[in-house]
Amino acid sequence: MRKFLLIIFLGSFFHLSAQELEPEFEDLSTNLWLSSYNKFRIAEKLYWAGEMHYRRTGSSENPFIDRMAQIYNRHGLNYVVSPNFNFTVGGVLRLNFTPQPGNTDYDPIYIEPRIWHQYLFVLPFPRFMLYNRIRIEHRWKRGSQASQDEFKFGNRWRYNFYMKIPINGTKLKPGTFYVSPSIELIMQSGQNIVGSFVEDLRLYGNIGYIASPRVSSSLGLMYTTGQNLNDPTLYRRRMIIRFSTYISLDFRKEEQKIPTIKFSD
Amino acid sequence: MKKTKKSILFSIILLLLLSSWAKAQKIQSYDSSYTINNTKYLAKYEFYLSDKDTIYNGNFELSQQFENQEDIYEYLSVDGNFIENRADEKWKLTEGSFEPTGNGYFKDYTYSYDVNGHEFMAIGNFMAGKKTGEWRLYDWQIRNSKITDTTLTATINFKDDKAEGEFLLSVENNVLKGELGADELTQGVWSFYRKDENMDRKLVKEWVFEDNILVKMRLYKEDQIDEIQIQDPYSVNLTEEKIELNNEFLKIIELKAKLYNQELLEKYKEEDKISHLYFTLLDNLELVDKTFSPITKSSIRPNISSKLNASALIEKEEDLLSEIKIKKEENLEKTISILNNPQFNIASVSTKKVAQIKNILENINKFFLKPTEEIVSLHEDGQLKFFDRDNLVEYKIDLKNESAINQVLNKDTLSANYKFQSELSFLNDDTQSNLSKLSLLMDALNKELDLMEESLKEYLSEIQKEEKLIELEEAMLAKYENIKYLADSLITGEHDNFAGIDVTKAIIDFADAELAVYSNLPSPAEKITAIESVINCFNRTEELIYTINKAPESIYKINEAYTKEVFNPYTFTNMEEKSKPPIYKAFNKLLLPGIFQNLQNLTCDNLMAYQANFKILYDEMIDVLNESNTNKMERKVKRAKTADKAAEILEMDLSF
Repeated sequence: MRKFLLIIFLGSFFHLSAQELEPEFEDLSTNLWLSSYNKFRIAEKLYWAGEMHYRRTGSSENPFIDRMAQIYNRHGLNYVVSPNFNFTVGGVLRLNFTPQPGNTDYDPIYIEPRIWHQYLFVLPFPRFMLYNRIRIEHRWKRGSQASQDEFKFGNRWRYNFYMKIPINGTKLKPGTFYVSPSIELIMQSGQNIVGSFVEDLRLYGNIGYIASPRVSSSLGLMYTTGQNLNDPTLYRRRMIIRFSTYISLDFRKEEQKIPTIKFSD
Repeated sequence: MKKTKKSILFSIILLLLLSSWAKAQKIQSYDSSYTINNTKYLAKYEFYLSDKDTIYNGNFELSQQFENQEDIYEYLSVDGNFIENRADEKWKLTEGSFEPTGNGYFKDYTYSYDVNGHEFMAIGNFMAGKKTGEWRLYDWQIRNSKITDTTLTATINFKDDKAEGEFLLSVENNVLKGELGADELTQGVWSFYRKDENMDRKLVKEWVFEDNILVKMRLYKEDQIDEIQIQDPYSVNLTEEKIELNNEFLKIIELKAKLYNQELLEKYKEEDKISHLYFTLLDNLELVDKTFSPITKSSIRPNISSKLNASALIEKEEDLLSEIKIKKEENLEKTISILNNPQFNIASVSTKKVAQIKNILENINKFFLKPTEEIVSLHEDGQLKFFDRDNLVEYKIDLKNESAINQVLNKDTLSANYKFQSELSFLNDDTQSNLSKLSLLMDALNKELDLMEESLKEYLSEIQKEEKLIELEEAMLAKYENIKYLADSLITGEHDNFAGIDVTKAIIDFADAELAVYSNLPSPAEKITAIESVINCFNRTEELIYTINKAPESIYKINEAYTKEVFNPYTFTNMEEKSKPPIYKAFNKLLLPGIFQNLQNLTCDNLMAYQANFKILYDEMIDVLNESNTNKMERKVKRAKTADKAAEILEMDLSF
């Protein structure tokens, strides 16, 4: 009898909540992200990772590229433990641009520093590669109104699942086109986070080309949605065109780079 | 006187007593088996023993009858007499064979058959162990137990155990009638008759003996009488020599007759029955002897001999004949040595000149050496003395003059134009005997054979060269075919991909061109000079094909050597990357196609260099890879447009 009463009680609660918190979706915004991913080999297993994003946001009149959104600098030391696991630790300096250019209430540019570390698990399959990335960011974030907003510490908890599937072959090698489906869930926590734990859910598909072991690039379309920080029932929606280049250079000494001559016999 | 009469009377009485004592010896009869020459007979004879010796004395009968393997009955019987172990009085030999014929008939409690067969019979007399009087031989055919045909009748007279007087032999229609003198020597005229249908004899041939020497032979043909004189050797010192009348004698006579009457002799030989009948007579007498001789210890067959006039050889002739023999053997050896040379024989089939020499050698052998051998052989058999040597040599070999010799050699159309090269002027020297000329001819032949051998050697050497050329051409063509085969089978599309050309075609075009150049050489001499280098060139081409065949291995090794693995920190996979890309690109785009495209300009001279390129390129590419700083080279080689320029920049000793 008690159990029955509890079920009725819980059911009533949810029914009541559903009535009070109706989710709403913001209008779909558009963005363009141009990214340069760089990794510089500095030791046998150690890389300097440096990313720079140039992000623009669109408007109804001028979708995708209307105004600057962010410039994004992410650096870190990437240690490749094995081909199946590596981790990176570093810092991010994000430059946010004013949402209303010309409005003096807003800072034209303001920073958002972060400390980040990520753990990448690589699962090789005969015809594709599968990646599980956990990235944790510790950030100090504030609003765009310079006079009112203060930096508040928060954490981002990111899980990204993506694949790289060669199209014109079975291996990821120079000359290969590949398709990369990706899904990333970004959760957040921190001082000002009350109900908007889901910062972003990113569904991303891109097609890439490996020009050489050192240079590749990709072009893709990403759909994201996430809770508004101030109103958890309000969901932001974005459609982002992404163009990325991936550069890796070997900064080791020449002697270390000379390959061993291999002979079949 | 009285005493003398008494002693004679005493002797007579003693003789009578002794003879009666002798007659008193015990006469025994034998009637049982008797073995002669391992053949068993039934014998019935009278004898007595004297000091354990059997002394035949009285009638002697011997018989044998048996059925042979062919179911023919054979029989033999001898009937004669002995007196004191010596054949005496009439002796008769009967032997024959028969087989039953027709149906048998019964008469006097005996069942009998008629027989068919033949019977031989010999009848004659002995006196005290010696043949005497007329001996007769018969051979007749029996049909239905009756004599139907007498196939042989012979009579021969004996006197004091030797054949003497007339003899006669009749075999079928042929009759030989002759005469023997003292010591069983030929004598008188021996005549050969042929019986006609009426059994009348018709004279066909005669041998005429004078003083036991055959002097002429006559051939009667219709009304014509041809006479062959048997000449004596021309000499003042002739000696008579006794010689048995056998085949050797007849050969001598024939040759003597040929010396003067070649054509006539040929005609005469067509009717040559005398010797045949003579030997038939001897054979039949021998048949009688086979049975009689072991019994009578006497031979019926006479040893008939004749005589020939001989002229003994003088010392010079003996010397000449010795020389001739040695020279002839030397010449014969040379001739046979050439004729038996396999290369000579093979060449004689295909080459006219060699065929001509072969023909001449055969003629030399046939017309000079063989007749010379016959002369030498007559000498060795001691028969040359019966011939006139000059005539004999002239008969055997025409030694008149040089043209006579050439005529002999030119008998065949193949050798019609041949001229004897050695000196033959001695043939015109009438002061020399023919034996002497023959000796000189042997010398001339010796020189001629040397000349022929020398010329033949030279010619065969030319042929050998041509044959060698043919062999080499066969080898060259085999190489050419092999090149095509190897190019087709060992060079594939993979090579063409590296080369950017049809490599197989380039190599075959080259081989074709080399072959065409060789084929267009105008003379065999030039071909002989050129062919070995063409074959060597083709050998090297084969090696080049093998090198090209293996080139992909090296190319892949270079590819592998220039490939390094780079870890991609985005995909987290290893990726391949080329070391020193400009150099590797120059290798792939310029150098490798360049050394392949060389093959379109192949010659026998550059072939080795072009083949070496493959190894040089491989080695140099590995060396360049191992060089630590090639940045400058890499920058420069990027701008190179041709293979030779790239090779120059990369300091590779390649030939283009």
